[in-house]
Amino acid sequence: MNTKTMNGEAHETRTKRPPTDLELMMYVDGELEGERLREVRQAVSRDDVLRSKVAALSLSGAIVRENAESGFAGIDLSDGIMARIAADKSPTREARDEAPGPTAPALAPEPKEAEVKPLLRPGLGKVAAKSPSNDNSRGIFALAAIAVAAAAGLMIWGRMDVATPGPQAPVAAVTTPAEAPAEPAQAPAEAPRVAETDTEESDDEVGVAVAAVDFGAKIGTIFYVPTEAATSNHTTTVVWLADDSAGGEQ
Amino acid sequence: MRLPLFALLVAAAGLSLGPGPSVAHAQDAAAQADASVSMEIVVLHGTNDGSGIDPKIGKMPELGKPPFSSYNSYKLLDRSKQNASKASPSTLKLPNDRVLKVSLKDVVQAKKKDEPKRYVISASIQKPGGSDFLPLLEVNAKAGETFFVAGQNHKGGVLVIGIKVNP
Repeated sequence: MNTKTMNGEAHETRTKRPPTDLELMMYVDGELEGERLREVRQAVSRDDVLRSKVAALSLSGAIVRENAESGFAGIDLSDGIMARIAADKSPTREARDEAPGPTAPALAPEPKEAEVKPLLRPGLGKVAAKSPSNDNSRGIFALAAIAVAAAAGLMIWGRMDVATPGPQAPVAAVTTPAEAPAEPAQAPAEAPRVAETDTEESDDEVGVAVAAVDFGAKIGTIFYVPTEAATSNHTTTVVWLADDSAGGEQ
Repeated sequence: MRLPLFALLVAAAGLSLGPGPSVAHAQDAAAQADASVSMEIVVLHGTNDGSGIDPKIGKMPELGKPPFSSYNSYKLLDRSKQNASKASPSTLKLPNDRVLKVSLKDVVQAKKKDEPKRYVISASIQKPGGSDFLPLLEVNAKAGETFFVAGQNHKGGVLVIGIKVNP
């Protein structure tokens, strides 16, 4: 092995170099070629340690190769995906996701998409989450409700004013004629009950105001009789006191 | 503190601008003159004899309205002028021998310039025996206004008494 030339010495030196672990792995895998392959083969044949390393590498390589082939032998991603797409007829993405594919057992479980949940504004609860923040419909509805309530109140108030009997209505004229009997002496006695109740309500427009009255033991009535046209509020005060049947006439 | 101070200022201004003693004296004199009032008293007899309303009564549209319309005929029995004052009431003998007593209780000055003063008049009717037919009737009337007291039986009808304060 010794040479006199520089190249020959160098070549001899390189052949004596023991093979590294990487070279051993390449040797086991059959990736070494040429002169280095022969040198590594000679070194392995001469050294027991190198032979044992080569044997271990060969064994581990065989195990890895066997497991890899058995583990991925049944997986065919392209065929499964294409079959599922062909079988999916739903228009929406959600429907497609929910529809089970015919090759689903063969596929690995797909990771679910993140569930999107609306964020709640602090202090407003679910209501704020349901309606957008720029939604002004509630304020408009509130104003409309207030306007409707005000209109209804004004209408009711106006109708109450119209329904209120005016002071022009003659108190006695409304009630007395129908009840006035043919017997004159009994006419004043019949009238009082109704007239008394009405006169208390319409004393604002009377001409002569009754400040005090004492009928004694008899039945008396105060009438407010309109004197002018219906448009006038002027009335005449009439105090009608029923006389006892025997004492008055002489 | 602002309100009492404002009230004091207003009161002081009112005292300074208020009427003097001479004006007050004139008002007292006017009140004394008003203490006597002239009244017109009419006595009507309402019946259903169909004679209608006596033309002597004059314009009295109330007679055609209830409760006067219970009688279709009214006749003037008496028309008199009476003077009444706070000190001396006026008395009038009625056709049924009862006595009508009318007195002036008070004169109420108007609160506003446009409003007339009002007279507080008291009326009562006494029977011949001394008992009261109408113990008390007190009204507040303006000049020219008439009020009626009716209901006494008289000769198949009723007596209607009208009392008007003359201006």
